[in-house]
Amino acid sequence: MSEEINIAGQLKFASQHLFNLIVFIGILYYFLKDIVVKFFSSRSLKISKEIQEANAVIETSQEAYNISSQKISLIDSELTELRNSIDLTTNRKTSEIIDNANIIAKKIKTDTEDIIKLESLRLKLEVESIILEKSLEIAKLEIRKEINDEKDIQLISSFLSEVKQNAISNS
Amino acid sequence: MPSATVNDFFIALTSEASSKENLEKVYLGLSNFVRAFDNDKNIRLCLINDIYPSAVKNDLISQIVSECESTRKFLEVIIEFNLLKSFVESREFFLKKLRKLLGKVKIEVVTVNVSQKDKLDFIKSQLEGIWGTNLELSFKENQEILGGIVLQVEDKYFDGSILGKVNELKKINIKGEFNV
Repeated sequence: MSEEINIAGQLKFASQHLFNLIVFIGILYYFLKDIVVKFFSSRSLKISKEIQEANAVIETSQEAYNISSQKISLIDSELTELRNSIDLTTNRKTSEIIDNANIIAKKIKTDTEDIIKLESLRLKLEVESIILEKSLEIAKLEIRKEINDEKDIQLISSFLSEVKQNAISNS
Repeated sequence: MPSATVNDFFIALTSEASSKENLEKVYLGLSNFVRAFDNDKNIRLCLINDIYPSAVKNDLISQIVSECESTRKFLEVIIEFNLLKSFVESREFFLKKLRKLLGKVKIEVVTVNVSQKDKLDFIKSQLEGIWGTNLELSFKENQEILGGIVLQVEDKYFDGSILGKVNELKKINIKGEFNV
């Protein structure tokens, strides 16, 4: 029985409070409706404005980005061209340098061969000359040993006869 | 006005000494002068240097060529005309000219030994057989020629020495080919 009283009391209590709440909400709605609507309207406007500004910024940025992208792609293509050109020039220069180096190397080789030939010829002639000098020195020593007055007079006589013959034929 | 040259005075000298005997004296005088000039440095310096007066030079010349008056006068004149240097530079030319007038041939003989009279007589007789008896012979000794004879006959040079033959061999290389 007491439980039934309690439930009825509770329902009553709840319905009173519900009523109070509804009244409170109605008062609130009545007094705050315009303010809240105004607030949210202004907020909505502000947000939409901000969104527009953001969109404008995004568009500007997009344009700047596009321009930058175009520039970057242009720079990139120029860089590629430049790189290709550098590569070509480098290759051409390298091949020129290698060709020149080859030519110089060939020339040096030829010159060196010539120098070696000439030097060996010079040394050969020098050696021959030294041998000849030594041989003649030995010959002089031998002649000095062999020569005597008789042979000397014979030599002089023979030479003077030759001179006489020449003098006769010239005159 | 053109000035006189040594040659002008020389022609005058040879014309004046017309006889062969006089020419011979002139030649001897000039030869003595040239020899003294070549060999004695003091004589050379005195005659060439302008600081010495002409009288000193003339005294010196008269001492060198006392035998021949014409030669002395000739030398005095060329000193007077400041032509001694030209004469000295061309001395061999003028002596040669005189030798030609005298029919004389100057021969310088080089041998290894000049002490053997027989050899020198033999050479002299041989040379007389070629260039006649009017020779102005001088002998020089040079051991370096090894043997044979070298002749300087006026401007001509005859090499019949062993050294000359050896030097000719130098023109032939080891293969036996001539280098020239």
